[in-house]
This record gives sequence, C-alpha cells and structure tokens, in this order.
Amino acid sequence: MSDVPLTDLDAPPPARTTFTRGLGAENPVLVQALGMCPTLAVTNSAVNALAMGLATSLVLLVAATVVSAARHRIPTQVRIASWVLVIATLVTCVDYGLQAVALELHAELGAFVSLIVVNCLILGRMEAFASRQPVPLAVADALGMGAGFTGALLVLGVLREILGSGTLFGVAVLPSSFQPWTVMLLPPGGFFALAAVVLLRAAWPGRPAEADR
Amino acid sequence: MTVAAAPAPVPLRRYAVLVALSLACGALLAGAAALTRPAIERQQAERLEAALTRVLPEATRFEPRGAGEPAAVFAGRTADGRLAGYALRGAAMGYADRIEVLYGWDPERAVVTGLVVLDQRETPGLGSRIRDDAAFHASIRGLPLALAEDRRTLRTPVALADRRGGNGAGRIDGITGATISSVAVARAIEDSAARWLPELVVGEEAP
Repeated sequence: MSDVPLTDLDAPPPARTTFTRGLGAENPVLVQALGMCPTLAVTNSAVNALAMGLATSLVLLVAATVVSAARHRIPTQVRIASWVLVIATLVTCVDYGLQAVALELHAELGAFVSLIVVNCLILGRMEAFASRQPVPLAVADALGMGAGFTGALLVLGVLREILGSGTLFGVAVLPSSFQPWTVMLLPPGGFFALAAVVLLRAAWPGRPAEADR
Repeated sequence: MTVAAAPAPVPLRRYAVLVALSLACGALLAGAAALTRPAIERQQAERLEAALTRVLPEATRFEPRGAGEPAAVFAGRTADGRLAGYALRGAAMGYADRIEVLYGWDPERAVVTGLVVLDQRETPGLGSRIRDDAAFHASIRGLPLALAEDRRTLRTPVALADRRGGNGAGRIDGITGATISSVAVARAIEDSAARWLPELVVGEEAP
C-alpha cells in the first residue's frame, strides 16, 4: 500500500522529517496501515480511542528510548526477544497504571491494553528505526508516530461516537430526535469510518502529493 | 561489541543478555505491581461501594455476608442500624461473556430495589445497553422477588415480559436487540436469589 522508498535503513534519516512524517506522510494508521486491531476495536468512543492512543504512544516512546540506548549491547540474534521483553514489561506497567487511575476505562478497553504488546507499530519502529538510530532521533520518531497514531484513532473515535451514540466524550451533541446508527459502534462501523478517513485524506485538495517524502 | 581478542564468537553472551534483561524487567514489574496495588484496591473498593449505594440508596453501612472476596451478599443498614435491605451479587452467561450484576433486595416489600451491571463484554450499542437502558432498569426496580410458602424456592420466576408465562406486572422489560443479554440479567437475579434468599429469610427470623 505504502510506496515508501526502500532506502538503506541504517543511513541517517533527514532530521527535519523524523518527527513530522509520523503525523502525515507515513501515518501509522492511515498510510502504513499498522496496528489495525486496536484501531478498529476500541475506537467506538472518543475516550477509548484517546486512552488507547496515549497508552500506545507512551509504550512506543519509552521502548524506543530503551532500544535505541541499548542498540550496541543487544546481540542481533536475540534482538526481537529482547525488545518484546521490554515492550511487554512497559505494557504491563501501563496496564497497572491505568487500573490504578481509571478502573472504569480499563474495564472498557478490556484485553486491548495488554494487546499493545503485539501491536506491529511498536515492533516495526524498533526494527526499522530505534535499533539503528541515536536516542534523540528515536525519541523524535516515536513522538511523531505516537502522535500520528493517537490522532488517527481520535478522529475515528469522534466520528464513530457522534454517529453511533450521538455523543462526544459522553456529552450529547446531537438532538435527542437523532436515531443513533448502532452499526457505527460495531466492527463494520470501524471499517466504514477508517475507509472514509483514508479516502478523505487521499482526496484532500492541495495535499502536497509526494513532495513531503 | 565482542572483544577482538576472542577467537570464536561466544553465544553465551546472547543468553546472558536475555537473562539480565529478564531479571531487570521482572524487578521493574514487581516494583510497579507493589506501587500500584493500593491504588487499584482502593479503586475497586470505591467502585463496589458506589454500586452498593446505588442499589440500596437508604443504606450507609454494608456488612459482607458469606464467603468470597468481595462477598456474595451484603446487608445494608441505615444510619440508625435498621436493615435497609440486602445487596446480592449474581452472574450469568451473556452473549459474549459472563455478565456480573449487583442488585438490591428489600425483604420487607419483597421487591428488587435496583440493579447495577458490574462487569460485561456485550456487543457495544446492543447488549451493552443492559448497563443504562432506562426502561429496562425501571422494570427491574420494584420487581417482585420473594420465597414461596415452602421457604426454599422462589414464589415467581424472574423472567422477561412475554416469556415463561406471558406479559404482565412483575416481568422485566427486555431490551430490543439485546434479548440474550436481557435474559442473562434475569437469570443472574433468579439464580443468586434462589441460592441466597432461603438463607437470608431464615437468618432474619432466627435471632
């Protein structure tokens, strides 16, 4: 789907776009189509989408920092196992933290918090970027990708909550005469919303075509 | 990286890295668990307390009855020590997963005083409406629930309107599009009531 040029991954990237490309040109959800499981599963309300996006971004940021800092110490043969260990530990810490701060939200997100471990966005960024670049660049990349992921999830969550429940962050925004489109809360609604947003983004007038790559 | 003097690569290093990393991660996890446990337990206690207050609004003090943590039954007492009613926990299999409920029972009026869904994984937008559908909860509030003359079985089954004996008062108004979830809530009430009501009624008369 993505036509990202297959360049030498170990070459230093242009620092200017390290942060911004995650937001747009290489958005993990809308362009790379990574992490589709939480994208479709938990975006049935804006709060859930935001919480999921932030939790994933936090794990991504800390994991990228650790992996980048330890990149010369971890033997290639055991790198994936090492990263999964780090990621799983961070996810469990986030899971505990969420339970301690917002039990209700934790119950709502169900198993999907634990499933951040297998989110291919995170492992993908470790392999393609954090394990090959110095810490500042890895942090910039993780922040950009995390913000892009959170933003895309939030857009989907807002869209699905307004149409599916008539509310936004739990506050009624549509008149009570509006009959909620229950389908928007169900899995098909996730696909509809994702397709609509990807389409809109692709057709957006004045979008700098491939120039920002 | 590996020292140049070593003639052959030492695969032991791979294991050493993994072991060291595992130990560090394990220590971090233990620390995180210990750090967050008090807050998590407090949140759970507050959540249960809020649910108890919702199903027995008159009660200010809740005494756990029976084994288990949290207990299956709570006796709710008012500020002056009078019995306001019992809060019972019940569970039944719903459409997606087990549905756990907590409901209040007033032994004097022999009715259900209210119900809170504690845990559910039902379909969002359909089955999940068992949590806050107004008509559904209004029909549960005031639902007759009492023992038969034999003091061992329920006088009337807990069921949805138009099932097991037709429409009428004393029936739960099921939610359209969420029949399986609604039936599960009815069964959760019925099962736990059949289990606990005989003990509670005897317990009241004994002293």
